[in-house]
Amino acid sequence: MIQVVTAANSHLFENELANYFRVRHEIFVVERGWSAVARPDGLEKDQFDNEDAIYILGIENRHVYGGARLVPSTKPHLLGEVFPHLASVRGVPRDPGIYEWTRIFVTKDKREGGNAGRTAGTVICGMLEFCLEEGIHALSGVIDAWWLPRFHDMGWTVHPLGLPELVGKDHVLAVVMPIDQETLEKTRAFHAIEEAVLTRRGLDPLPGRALVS
Amino acid sequence: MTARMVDYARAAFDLIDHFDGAKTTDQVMSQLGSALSAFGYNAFLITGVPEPPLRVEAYFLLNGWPDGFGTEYHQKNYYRDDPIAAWCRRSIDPYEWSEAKYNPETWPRAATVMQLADDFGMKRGFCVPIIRANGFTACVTMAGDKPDFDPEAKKAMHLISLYAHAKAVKLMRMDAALRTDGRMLTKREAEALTWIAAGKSSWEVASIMGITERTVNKFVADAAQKLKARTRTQAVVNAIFAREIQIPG
Repeated sequence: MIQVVTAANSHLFENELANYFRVRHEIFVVERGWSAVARPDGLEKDQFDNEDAIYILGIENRHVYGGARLVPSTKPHLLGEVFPHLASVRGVPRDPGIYEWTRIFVTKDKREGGNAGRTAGTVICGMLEFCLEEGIHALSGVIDAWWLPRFHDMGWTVHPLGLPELVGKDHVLAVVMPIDQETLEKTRAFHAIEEAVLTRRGLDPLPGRALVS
Repeated sequence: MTARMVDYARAAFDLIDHFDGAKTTDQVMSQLGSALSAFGYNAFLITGVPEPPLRVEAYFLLNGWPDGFGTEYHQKNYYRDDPIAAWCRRSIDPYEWSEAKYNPETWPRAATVMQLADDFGMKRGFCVPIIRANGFTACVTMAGDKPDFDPEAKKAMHLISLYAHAKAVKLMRMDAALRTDGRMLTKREAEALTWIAAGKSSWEVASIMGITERTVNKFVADAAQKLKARTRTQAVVNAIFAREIQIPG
């Protein structure tokens, strides 16, 4: 089940969120070796995990098996605050309809063979459903350059914001990706996902009402 | 940013915008060729990179190799001993050809392949591996006498390569698919081809589908013709790239 968690309904998901930040530590600090974000309390949380952050969470039995984070581009975000030089050609997008997408993951036990795992696909589709319901028309972010062909294979449009740069040992690229109903349909078709996956428990059920403007 | 850095970035971004407007592979070849020659490259190739003993010719997307080089390369099956291709299958990051290390004493044929490239003016090169969503490897590789290996130039080549490959795939899908109702192969043709892709023989496919071996062969031949493929292997490759079939498993 994919659930969207914002400041408006986070009180309903306290246990899941606590689990979520511990899982992020396992994935990003331990598995991927991002020592720069390691914290002594064993939770992986940075300055952008604030009241503006939106979490798209895959939850099963109160445990988080997958997630993605969305942060408004009009507020402080990773690309704007930490990596603006990556967007040196086109500039950092700042628009109420553009959110930065970060911290996508699926826990080890839920990863299928091959790169285009279905579980990751459900998290991404849940995120796209939320974005379309709330009028988010593009996603910005910093991606590993080698991921670009994967987005193209899924049928997404990816606009580079600068040249690829080395960050540590990784070639990364700042991008902005317009999304619409067609993006959702192509992503579903790619992963053989046939239905909507998102639940909005505790949020205003009407589309367009979940985000504070 | 220095003026030079702005030029490299602008060249890359302009080219990517041009790719958007291109409608044929000839247009893309021409746009890419011009841009690359400004960077000192006189040859390029965009292709899938299968594991040997598969032969590479069926996986070519955009062929900007010198005439004559390809003929000898394929005739002698140099792909099997191409150290650039071997390095590409193990990398996710772009690399200069000189970084694709091999031991000429234990692998003399690799040196022969590189010598042939050198003979055809491909003395120094740059290769960008492409990892597809299905796990397949492809690449954009380019070479010349003295290409510009300024770090900013290589970043520009990296970005250009990612978009050139995407455009080549898009155009190939459009070429291969006479899309009237969205699908080119019939359900049975696609099914038969999927079993072939899974390694089944015609006899086994016949058994699975409950038809004669002769009918299986006809399905595969018809599919190959629609996909402009000369062999079963190429039909499978083209079908996967055109998303007519999915990789089994």
